[in-house]
Amino acid sequence: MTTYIIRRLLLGIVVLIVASIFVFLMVHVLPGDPLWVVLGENYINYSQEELDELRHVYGLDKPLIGQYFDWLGSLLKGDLGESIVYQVPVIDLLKRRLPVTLNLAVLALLISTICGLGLGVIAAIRRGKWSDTVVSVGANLGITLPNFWVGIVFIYIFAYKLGWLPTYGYTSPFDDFVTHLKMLIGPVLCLSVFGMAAQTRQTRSSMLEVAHQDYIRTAWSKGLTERVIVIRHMVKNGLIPVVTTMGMQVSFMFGGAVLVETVFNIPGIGRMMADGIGMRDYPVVQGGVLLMAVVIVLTNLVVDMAYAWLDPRIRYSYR
Amino acid sequence: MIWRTAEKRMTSTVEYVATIEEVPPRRSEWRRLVRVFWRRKLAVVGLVIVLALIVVAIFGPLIAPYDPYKTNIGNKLAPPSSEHWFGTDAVGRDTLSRVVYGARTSLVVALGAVLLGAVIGQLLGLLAGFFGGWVSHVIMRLIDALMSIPMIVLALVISSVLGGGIKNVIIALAIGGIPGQCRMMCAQTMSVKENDYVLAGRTMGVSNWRIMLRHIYPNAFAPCLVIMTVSLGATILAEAGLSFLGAGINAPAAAWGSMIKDGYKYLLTNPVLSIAPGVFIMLAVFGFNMFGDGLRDALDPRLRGTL
Repeated sequence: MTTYIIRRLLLGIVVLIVASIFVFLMVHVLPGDPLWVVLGENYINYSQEELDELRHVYGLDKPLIGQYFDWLGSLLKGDLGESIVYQVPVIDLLKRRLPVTLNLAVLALLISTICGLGLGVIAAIRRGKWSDTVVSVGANLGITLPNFWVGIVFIYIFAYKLGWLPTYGYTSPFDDFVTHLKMLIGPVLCLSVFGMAAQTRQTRSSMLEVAHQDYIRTAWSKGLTERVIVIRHMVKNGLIPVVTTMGMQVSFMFGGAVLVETVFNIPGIGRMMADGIGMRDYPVVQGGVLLMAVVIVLTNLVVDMAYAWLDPRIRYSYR
Repeated sequence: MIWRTAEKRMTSTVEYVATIEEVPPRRSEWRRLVRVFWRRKLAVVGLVIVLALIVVAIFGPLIAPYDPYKTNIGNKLAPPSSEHWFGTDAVGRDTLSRVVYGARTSLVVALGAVLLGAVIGQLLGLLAGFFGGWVSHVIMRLIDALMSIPMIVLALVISSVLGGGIKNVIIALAIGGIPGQCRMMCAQTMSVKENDYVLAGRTMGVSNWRIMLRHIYPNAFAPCLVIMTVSLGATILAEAGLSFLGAGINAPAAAWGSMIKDGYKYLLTNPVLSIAPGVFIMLAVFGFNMFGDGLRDALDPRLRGTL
């Protein structure tokens, strides 16, 4: 098990290094001068001599590989550069905005996983009945919905027409908890629709696959009750692909946050990225992408650990 | 060449080969595929939607009631009426005509991105699965790194670096589609290469490229085709997301995502401007997903009816 964990950890580090190369190259393959990324709109106000001097100061006259290691060095010290638009260190922006996105994403992940698992199990054990049809059709429709469009429809119905909820924005739970909850309902719902539908489909599918296994037949013939068979034998074994879906969901949540936070005007990482791209604030975009990559790689690591816990074959193969 | 000569020699000398060749397996296999597909009603619904979408995309100019680019400030933000079923936008363009033309944009981007992503991804997967060892390690770590960035964020960054427009959006979304194709092809190649006919090819001195492209690829392709079909739906969603954020295809070109973005400003007065394109995105994605599910069931009997 320890070998397995160490191996996964090392692979995670390698993946992060490769991702950091992608993020570094992202700015360096930009057409034009990389100094533009540092200076933004002011670039045109500088003379050629000043630009050359700045190029030397920022190390942009070094070979690309040297520049990468300089950049990686400052990255490891927590220096992600400065935002061109906000004129503050990117790390401060990330620190301020990450809790907002995590608040949204964790809630959405919990809701989509709990509901998805429940609905998937119900559909599988009632296969062919009307409840299965309703859940399956709902799940198939759920994965086709663009989350930003669901947000717009939600705002139209619940804010404009019924007036039950605020239109958009974000209030910290420490300022006003009730308003915070009211403002969160729409974005969390939009963010969890796709995940819930995908999780329902995956759970139903893997439960049905497990239901055909020999050990389930043995369990039935032993005279075990349906509850014991479903919970102890089917759900635990059927959970493996479901855990994979959960790991992928973190990636979907971050991607979805870019759109949903834009629709609901929420000051999280997603909105920061969308604005950063719109205003060509590349240090912010680089910081945001790196942060997402770190969180996703860490999640995948946890998913791999969960595999080993759920599937003894993995544990034993690394003994 | 060596392979063919050997095949001929075998046919002439070993009698049972001829007996096997008399059975036409391909035709009955096709029939089985069609039968399984046809039995799944949702898959048929999906196929109908996909075909309708293709017809709308090809014959858009004949179907659209008005020129989707023609502005008419005097008739801007008109509500739905018998003349303009979905009303008009902020510069008086007919929304229905733009939705019809949007189908073409979505389909072209989705097909282009999925095909480009499939070519690159499948080639990388084939190489990784066939050679294994350090080749596989290098390729798979690159793929893992690509997967550590959410697809929409990756596409958003690439599209903004390259500068929007249909061509660049196709490239951006294709890169996001590489990992899925590569991983599936790699897994398939690893399993197919264990077959005896691959070993036979090797012992006869057939080159690696020929074994990969002639003997492994055709036998490993089916699951990748299913992923490609389902990816079409996901790519339509991603393109809409990019256009909604302004980093995809923007007005005056007709794209469903940018129509939702432009209509969002008038949500209170003209909700149909952003709701109508969303319904069409949903329909298109539903069509491709159901078609893909049906195709998977037909190609993989093990999974039939489970999803």
